[in-house]
Amino acid sequence: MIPRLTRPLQGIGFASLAWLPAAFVLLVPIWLVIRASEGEGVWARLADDRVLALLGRSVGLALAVAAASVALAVPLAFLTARTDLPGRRWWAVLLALPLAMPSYVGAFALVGAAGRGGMLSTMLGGAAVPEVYGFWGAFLSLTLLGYPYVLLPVRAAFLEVDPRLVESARVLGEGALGAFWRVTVPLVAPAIGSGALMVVLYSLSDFGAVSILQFDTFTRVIFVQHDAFDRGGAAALSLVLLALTATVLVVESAARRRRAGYASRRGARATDAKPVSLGAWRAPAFLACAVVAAGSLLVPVGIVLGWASRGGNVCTFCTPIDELAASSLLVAASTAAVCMILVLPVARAAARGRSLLLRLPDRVIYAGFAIPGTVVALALVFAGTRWVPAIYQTVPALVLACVLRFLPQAADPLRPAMARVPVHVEEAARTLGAGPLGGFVRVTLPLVAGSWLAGGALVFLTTVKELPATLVMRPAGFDTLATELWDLTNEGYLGEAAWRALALLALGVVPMLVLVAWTERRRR
Amino acid sequence: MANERSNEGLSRRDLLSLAVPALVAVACGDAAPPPAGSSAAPGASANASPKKEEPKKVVVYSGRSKSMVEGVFDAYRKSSGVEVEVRYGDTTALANQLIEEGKASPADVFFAQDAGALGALVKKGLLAKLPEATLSRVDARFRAVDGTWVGTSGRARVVAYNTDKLKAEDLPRSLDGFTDPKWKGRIGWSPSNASFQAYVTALRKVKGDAAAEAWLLAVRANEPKDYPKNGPAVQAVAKGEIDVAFVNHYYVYRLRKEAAGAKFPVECFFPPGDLGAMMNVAGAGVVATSKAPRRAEELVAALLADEAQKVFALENFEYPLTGSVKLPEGIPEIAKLELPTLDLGSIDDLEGTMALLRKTKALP
Repeated sequence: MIPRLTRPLQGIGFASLAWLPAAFVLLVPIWLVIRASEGEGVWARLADDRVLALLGRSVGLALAVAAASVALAVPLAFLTARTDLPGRRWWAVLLALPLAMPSYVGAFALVGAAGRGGMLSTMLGGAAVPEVYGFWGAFLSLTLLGYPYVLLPVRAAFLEVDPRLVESARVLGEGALGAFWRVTVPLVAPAIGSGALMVVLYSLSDFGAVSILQFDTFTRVIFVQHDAFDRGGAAALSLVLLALTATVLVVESAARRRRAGYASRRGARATDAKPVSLGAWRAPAFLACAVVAAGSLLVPVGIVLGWASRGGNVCTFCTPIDELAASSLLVAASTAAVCMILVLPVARAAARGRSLLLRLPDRVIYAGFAIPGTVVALALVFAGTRWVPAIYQTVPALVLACVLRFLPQAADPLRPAMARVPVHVEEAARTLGAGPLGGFVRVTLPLVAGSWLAGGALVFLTTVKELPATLVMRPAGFDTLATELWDLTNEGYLGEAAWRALALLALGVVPMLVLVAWTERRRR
Repeated sequence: MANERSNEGLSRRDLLSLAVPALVAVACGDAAPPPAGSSAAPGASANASPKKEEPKKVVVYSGRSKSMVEGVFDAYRKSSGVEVEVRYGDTTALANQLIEEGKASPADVFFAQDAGALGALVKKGLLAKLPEATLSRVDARFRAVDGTWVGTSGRARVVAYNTDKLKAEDLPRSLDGFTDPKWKGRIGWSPSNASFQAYVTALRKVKGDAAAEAWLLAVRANEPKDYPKNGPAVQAVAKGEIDVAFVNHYYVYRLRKEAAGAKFPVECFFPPGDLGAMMNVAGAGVVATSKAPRRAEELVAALLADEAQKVFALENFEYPLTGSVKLPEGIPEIAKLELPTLDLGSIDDLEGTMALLRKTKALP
């Protein structure tokens, strides 16, 4: 039968699947509302000038970090995707790794590097160094940890831009720069917005880095409530953060003008085009990559190696690192795989659905990411003990918990990629007899595979460092690199902790190698 | 062209797409297996002694870290043959988890870093009374008034100071002395830390709310650096970032051991007779909904046995609360400390303390 192309949806089954993960994530706001309604005197606290001021500080910090991340990541994305930069692919792998570093480790490393009595001041012969605590420390730390949220989707976008569009522009008389600005940049812009969105939400919900760098933000208010065993208060304050997130999401949606996709076809993609020759700029470009990698990776690794050299063989009952790594790998790979599958109907509905009802799941899934993990963990405890006690505190439940927190990261690169693919490509397949699912899987998906995998890599990188949901949902005795790193760091056993931190980063190489190998496979 | 097709409002398919997952959710809800009380061993015989009916397994929620206490549990597993499952986590987060789990909690024992978290569970009625024989082993100052938890090891509040910059004689005999402006910019503290909050609660109890408020405001005027935890505060003293920090004693000894001979210019000062040297405890209790309460009680009792107390004292540098275990060299004996007279079980007004910390802007 010939499909009826006038219908806005192609197959309700597939479209309705978008609500499956969204309904799951809705668990978080539902729990927040239940608990917040029990809190007493919480709303009065919100009228407190200081609490509002902290909300303002949080927003200011998040926007600054997002702006800096975009400024840092977009050029790096271009260099590692489209140029003849020496070691281009290796830079792509290395520059994504900071995402696997727990923010408290990044912050400790910054204090160790730039704080008083730290590496920098020692190198300068004990000279006074600028104060590391406060806004600038938090800003620097979060930027160096968070910029890969922009790098990955934007790099994927650069790789998926059809080079023939640029060639057409050149043929029509544009200069190289003009073609870049008028063709490439508009195609990549939604990915930049998408990445910046993640950085904003990451900065808003982080507690590790800001607490160590002594910059009070709104999350501190939530934690104070949580630490006083006031779930109602923590939930009510989290709802404020959620409302703020909703605002950010609306702004991002509005900023992303819905444009028709540009024709593209399997077999023609950026990786087929000749890389842009950097010429005399090769050395400065190389240096720029090296500087970012040094600041975000080399310095923290150096500091951590410094811990390791202090030895301190105190670990009588630690789990061997290879076992920890296997557990982390199992959880991270499963979470990434589940997210990659669940996100397909969500991203497709967001790109193709014309009613709000279909675009909504893509926004709802951010609820689990935007509030502190410790609060999300309690919502999971609530649901797990009441509704699915049989799987409470098992590995599958742990994976689901991580999915709930990190699903939007899988959507982050995929959504803009889907928007780049014109709808008529898929419609053409349907006229040729493909079903709705077949048309999507065989035509659209191959065109966005790089972005899809980049989303999986983002999920993997952040799941290896996940802590709060892991602590409540893992089976007793199931340790991961992140849990043991946290345990040892807490007790000040930094010598032992160091190796776990390095293993975390090493594990982050896995998804990046897969991603780079896949996206570059045509070049050879 | 395709994009210009408009479709205002909800189509039938849109509605269906909503209904389908809802139906699926309902169906799954029905199909969900019954709550697992079925974890009881299948072989458990019905009419044997009460203890025989209990599963030969105890689940512990431990806010004390694996690197510190796994040895104790490991020894207990070997000596008793009981399977001990330990869930390690942050004390506050685990207490919140237990409260959220409520009656459905799989936990039998809660082992906490501080008395405040145990108190929070008591208020929710989540801890059962311990046997008298266990309670009586520990000084009445270090256990719950109603017998729902017992202290397992002591941690003294101290002033950690940088020995390159200060001598013990330079330090005031009481924390009141740090309100002097000469300490401006030299102090580290962690108002979000439970041990610090216990100190403020004690201060309120002994000297009254007004005095506690005045102290907090005066110290705040000296612009103390706010560390998220005791560990980073002690590290900061070692690096000379600050001169003094109000912390728990064992961090100093443990970090010195970890520094393994490298320069670590930090010492502890125990302000004699001052609340600033009060003894906090880590403690444990049996969860009220435990399916193995007898075994849980036995495990708590085991934490007070010499074998466990030795681990706390020799490896973790804490104060043993029972028996005659000797402390490592360099740590003053508990008997030689001039401890303030204070009943930890009676210091439970965390809410009032949090309100005061917010009022004085020590916390947001």
